[in-house]
Amino acid sequence: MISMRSICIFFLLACIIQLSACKKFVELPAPQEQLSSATVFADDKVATSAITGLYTQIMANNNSFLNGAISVYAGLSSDELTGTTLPPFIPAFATNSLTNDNPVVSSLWTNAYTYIYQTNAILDGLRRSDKVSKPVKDQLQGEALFVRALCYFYLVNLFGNVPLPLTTDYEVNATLPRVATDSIYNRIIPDLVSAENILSADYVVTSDFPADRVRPNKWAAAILLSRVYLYQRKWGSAESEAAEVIDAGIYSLDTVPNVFTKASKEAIWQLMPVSSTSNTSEGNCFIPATPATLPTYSLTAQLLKAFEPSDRRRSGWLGSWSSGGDTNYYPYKYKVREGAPPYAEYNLVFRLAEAYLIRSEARAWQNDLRRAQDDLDSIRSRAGLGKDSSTDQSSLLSAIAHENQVEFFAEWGHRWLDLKRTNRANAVLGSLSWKNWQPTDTLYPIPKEELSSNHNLVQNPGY
Amino acid sequence: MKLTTILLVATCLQVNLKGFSQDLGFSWKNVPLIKVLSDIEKKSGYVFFYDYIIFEHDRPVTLEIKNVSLRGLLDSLLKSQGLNYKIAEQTIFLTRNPLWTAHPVPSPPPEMTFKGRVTNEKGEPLAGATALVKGGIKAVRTEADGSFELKLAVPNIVLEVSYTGFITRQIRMSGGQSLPVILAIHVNPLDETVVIAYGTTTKRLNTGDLATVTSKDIGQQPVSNPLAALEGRAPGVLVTQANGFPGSAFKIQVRGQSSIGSAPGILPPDNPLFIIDGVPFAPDNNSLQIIATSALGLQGRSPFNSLNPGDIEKIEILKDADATAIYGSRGANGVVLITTRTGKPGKIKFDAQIWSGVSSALSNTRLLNTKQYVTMREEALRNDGLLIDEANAPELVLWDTTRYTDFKKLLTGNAAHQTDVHASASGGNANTTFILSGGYHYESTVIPGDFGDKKETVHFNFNHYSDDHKFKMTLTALYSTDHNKLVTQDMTINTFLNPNAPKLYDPSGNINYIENGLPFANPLFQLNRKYSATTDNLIGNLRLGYQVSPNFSILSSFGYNSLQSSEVAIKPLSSQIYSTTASSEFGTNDFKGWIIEPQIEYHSSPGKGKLSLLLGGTFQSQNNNASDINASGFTSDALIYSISAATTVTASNYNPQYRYAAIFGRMNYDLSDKYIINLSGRRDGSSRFGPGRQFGNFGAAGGAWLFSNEKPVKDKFKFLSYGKLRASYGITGNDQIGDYLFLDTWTSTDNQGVYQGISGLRPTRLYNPDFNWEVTKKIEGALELGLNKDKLLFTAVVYRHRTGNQLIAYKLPAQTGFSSLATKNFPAVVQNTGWEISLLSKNIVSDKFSWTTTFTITLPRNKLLAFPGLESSSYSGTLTIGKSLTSKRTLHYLGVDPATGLFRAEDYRPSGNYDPDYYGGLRNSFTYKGLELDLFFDYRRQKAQNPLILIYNNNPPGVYIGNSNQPVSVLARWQKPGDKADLQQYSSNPGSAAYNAISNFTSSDAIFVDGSFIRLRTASLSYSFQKNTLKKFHAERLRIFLQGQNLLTISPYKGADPETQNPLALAPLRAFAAGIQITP
Repeated sequence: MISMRSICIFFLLACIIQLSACKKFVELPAPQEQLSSATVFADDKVATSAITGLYTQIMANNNSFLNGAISVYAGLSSDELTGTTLPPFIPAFATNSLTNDNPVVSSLWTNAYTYIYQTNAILDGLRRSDKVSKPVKDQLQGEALFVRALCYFYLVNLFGNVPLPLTTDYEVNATLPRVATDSIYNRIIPDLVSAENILSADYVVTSDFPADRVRPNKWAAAILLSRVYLYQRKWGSAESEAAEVIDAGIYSLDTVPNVFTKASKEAIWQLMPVSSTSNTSEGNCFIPATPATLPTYSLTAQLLKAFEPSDRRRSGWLGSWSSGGDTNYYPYKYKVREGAPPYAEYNLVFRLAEAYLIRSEARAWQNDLRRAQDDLDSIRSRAGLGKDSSTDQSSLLSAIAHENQVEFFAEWGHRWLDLKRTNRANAVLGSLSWKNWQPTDTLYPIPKEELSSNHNLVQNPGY
Repeated sequence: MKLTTILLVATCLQVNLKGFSQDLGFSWKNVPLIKVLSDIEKKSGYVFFYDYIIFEHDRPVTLEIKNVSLRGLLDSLLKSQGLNYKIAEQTIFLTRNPLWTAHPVPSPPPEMTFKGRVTNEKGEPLAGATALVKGGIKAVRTEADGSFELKLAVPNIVLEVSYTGFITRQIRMSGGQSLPVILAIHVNPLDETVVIAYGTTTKRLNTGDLATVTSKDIGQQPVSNPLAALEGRAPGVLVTQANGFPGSAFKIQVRGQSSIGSAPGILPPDNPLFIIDGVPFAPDNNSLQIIATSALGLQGRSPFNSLNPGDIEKIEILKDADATAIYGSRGANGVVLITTRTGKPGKIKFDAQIWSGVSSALSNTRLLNTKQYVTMREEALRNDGLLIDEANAPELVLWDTTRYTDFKKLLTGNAAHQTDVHASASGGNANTTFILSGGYHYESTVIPGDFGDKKETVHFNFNHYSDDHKFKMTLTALYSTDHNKLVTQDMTINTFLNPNAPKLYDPSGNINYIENGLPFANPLFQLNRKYSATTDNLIGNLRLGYQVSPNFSILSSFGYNSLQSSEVAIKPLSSQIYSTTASSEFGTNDFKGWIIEPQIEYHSSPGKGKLSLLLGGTFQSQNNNASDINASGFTSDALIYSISAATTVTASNYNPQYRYAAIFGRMNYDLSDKYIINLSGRRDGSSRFGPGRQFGNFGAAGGAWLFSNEKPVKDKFKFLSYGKLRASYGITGNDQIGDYLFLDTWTSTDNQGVYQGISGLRPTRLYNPDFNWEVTKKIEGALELGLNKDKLLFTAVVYRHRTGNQLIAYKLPAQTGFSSLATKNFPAVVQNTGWEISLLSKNIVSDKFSWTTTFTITLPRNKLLAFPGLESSSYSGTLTIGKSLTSKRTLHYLGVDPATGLFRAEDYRPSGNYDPDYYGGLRNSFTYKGLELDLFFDYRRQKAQNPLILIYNNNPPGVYIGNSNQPVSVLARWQKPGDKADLQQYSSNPGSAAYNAISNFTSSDAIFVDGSFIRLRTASLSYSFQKNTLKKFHAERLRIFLQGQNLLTISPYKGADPETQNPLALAPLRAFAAGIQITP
């Protein structure tokens, strides 16, 4: 029994030693099917998954923030689209009678901040990590800064002042109040400047997709930056950023039928679909299911009137549906409604035409009318239209605004944002009888549940 | 001593006429004087005369002498003994020399050693047992290994051995003997051993609160899930069955809902901690089901169905702080200890039991017949102003409106069969005991087809002591394999198919799905959608102990549990009406856990008290590995089980781990079995909390005063045989919130699609390291009384549990990136208070006939005491301060408007809750010779959800969709203006005013109806054959029995079973069984 005794005592001692290691014992790594932040940013490959996961999420649902929703809902809010046979919370956009419990508004807000969190988490993870190689780190940081800036850009343009979380600390983020639009631009601009600096000029491609422009590069940051400068009325900066894109040498204006194809020569950044049943969200929701089906969204008479005769875009980018003498037109920039991979069309976020129109407008404001007109005419000639005939600054600016309307209709809310930034919304939309326009309608309501879960938030006027 | 005197006197009276002789010779070595004297008498013929006191200081004699005269002999013999002698004729008178003193006597009187070891029937030592020498000379207590040693200068003694909880024994012992003393357990329930955390005590001496359900209670019930056997049996423990399918879940809560929860309106299960033979049951009481749907419903499959009730010795439920605190963090919601059977010393005993039974679904949901159905539909269409045509009422136009099929009878009306076999072999000797048992249980179900549950179990227990009883080893193993075969959907919902639905088979014998162009959901298709699950469960525990010294022992237990569940559900082509492909789903859910618990024990008996100290540690680790695979696109049923034959496969898996470590200590001091205090404390660490937050300190104090052991009470209140006041207070913790909630984790996005051919990740959790233990403070007081020699035992308990630092999942603003819920400690407090009263009365006890009654009642109250910031939280709509957690805010129902025939309601307000007002059980047991009758009723007074709420939410009366039949209770509807009806007018039209008014009913306080019930839960009649008959059968024991479960229910609740409260789920089964038990 002596041996038994010694075994037992030995065992007991072992247990006591174990007890002192208690603390270690109850510290567990993340479960196998999930990764902790530290592991995500421990090598180039997994870190890259964090950014592709962000794009997957953006593209996972049609009609969501950054995937079609802004084209549709901001289109309805402005004067380009109307909706038919829809649940009532969608026509509320067209009649500018949103309420604070509108589920679409809520999902725009929620999606934006979900993506912002992911960019913050990526930036945070990369900052802490010393295991991701410099080129990959730069590229991923640049992409995250760029996507975060893009999210904030649309948030301020849809909602006005918004909270500006820049970390992953939920305790801090949960109580942040809304921040003035200017402060947000003051964050967006340096972020885009550094994104432009660290992003590579070449597109990041994979062997499966060797020619795709589905990851943001230097010029994607530049075009967004030039747009931001334009919105900030910093004409010189807007012009030079746009010029950089135009002069990059890898983009050219494509023919009207080719603009929205996967291989578009003017694509600066496209989002690749991930759905197994559809390509782009716009294609899926604008194109009717069958030729006999009434289009869900129709173009307004105002927009149709805006097209000049012989505009190639009218014939190339509009679809029509007729029934008993009644004709409805719908956006037909994308041609594919349904379809499994491989995809024929990608979601085109930034394209070269915008750089021309930004530079044109920036030059016009700087009274460089001739060169402004050159840029405008580049777009017009691609549409098969003659040169612009404006003779003074204000008529040129009107012409540029008009060109924006017909070039970017039903695309990323360009019209809605333009009307607001140029202070024409009250005049243009207030004059439409079917709009229930009030000056406070330029901003969407802050979702009700956000106000209740963060008491530091204040509602926009009019809601 | 008395005996010696008599012998001596008898000797003195002897008359010996033998003559004097000079040639005497003797040789003694350590011979008692009395023997020496008797030797002399025999040889000399002289007789000694003396008083026995002369032996007071006698010493054994060692003397060798030859050829000596009597006087010479006496001189040399008696001088040293301090005795004088005088010879007169043939008699020698002995007297004590008055000058002689014992002082100079060098050697003490000879002492005899009496040794023994006291054990229970299992051979386990009883430490602290009293061994008292009859006559009151001396008493000793047994050591920790049960041994005792007495030294007395007497040759023989009668020893009285007593130990609390055991029957006192008297044994005769001779000096130098070493005897084992086995004590039998006392029949008084107060003295039954109860298992407390890491030890045992008796109900009498326990300072904590626990409820016990014994193997006898369990064995009387024809059930396959041990949790089923607990229903109504234990005060403070509410057990509710989910439905009547074999393998279904049981909800079990000890003293109410204490946690607020994981989402508004969803209360966490608050499961107690389950420990089976010292091993925490890895899956807890969580569902094993991974697959999306099965007939078992939302609550899924019970892991406890893998246990065999026949292997269980007893189930104990620890409730108060004193009893549960030693389990620390895991004990906040109570602890359920399941102990399996052990062998008893003796020759090998075989025991076999077999029973078989029939069961049918309990239900008072009667459905409309075709005539009533057609009338309902016609009336609904008329109310809506709609024509009875193909568009509005296709089933009335296209199908025969006189045909009637009783789908209830067809789909859930079968008799289910049960067969159960259990056999065991047990035995052993004082050092080693064992039991080995095997079981088989099969039960089918009430739906047609080859469905049911089959279970095979093996149980093994081995106990061994070394010869010196210092080393002890116990090995327990339980293994079971359970096969559950069901459909993927509870067929009860299909019983609501229109009673005039077309024939189920077409004329050529195929399953019919259409008549006159109108298809219908033939339930036979549904019956082809099969679910099957296999559960393999292994629980093993090894316990090693070593007695280092009489006071100290060290021991450790090593436990292991592995439960593996695999499931498959198929939707073959034969179950598809429209789809041309088949699909299947595969789930696995494996749990593995181990636990190591080293302990040191110290026992001592200072003065009149008994002190025991325990110091120990726990290391526990649990892994769960779950996966779910959906395979679809099969074009043939032949390959439906082959995932690789599918065209589309989606999969997900989940692999959480849990670790738990603790150090604990307990001190118990018992002074004269009158005053007992029990203190415990522990430090717990759980992996569910973030860095720096893992550990928490918990502790409890309990005290008991057995006032009936006080002399004044004993003298004055003779009728009071037992009286105890006890109280406890303590703090326990809860970490039942799910794993990894503090960790920021990323999960694959590949199920949403792949971007650029690169797998994606998304953040799935926030870094949230700041929450920690939810804390329950428990306070309890109890009075326990035994009257009339404990023939009436009464216990009243009052308790208050307050759970604070609530772990609540609350909604974050979306700007954090997570609009989902994050867990945080809130200073909200939930209070559970209540009374628990139990009575045990031996009404009649005689040799032939006995009648015992047990009655328990629990009166629980649940209340949200505080919730700072409730109004602004996402819980504002579901909780109200001062009300129960289950209380609802609803509209106030105003009945049916006699003018319009529509439901009316007004404003939202707090309106009631589903907590039971009281519940309990009443049991009467009768025995007459070998005959035993046991009747157990359980009862509950409660509000239940009106079964019509589910009916109206699912499919309001008058509407035609798939399963549009209705319970007969919908006949109480409004028909014409002026009617005062219970229910509003029928409507067939989802756009009608009546349709819109439904929420006035379903969202109002009309959801509450009286759901009270009294149920004859168990009736058991058995007969054990008497000795004479047994001889004929060469059996030691032969018993036959009849059992019934859920035989009778008295309830005002109509339309569903008052326990499951769901008209769309299969009600619990009523079972009858008959069986035989034989011990050859």
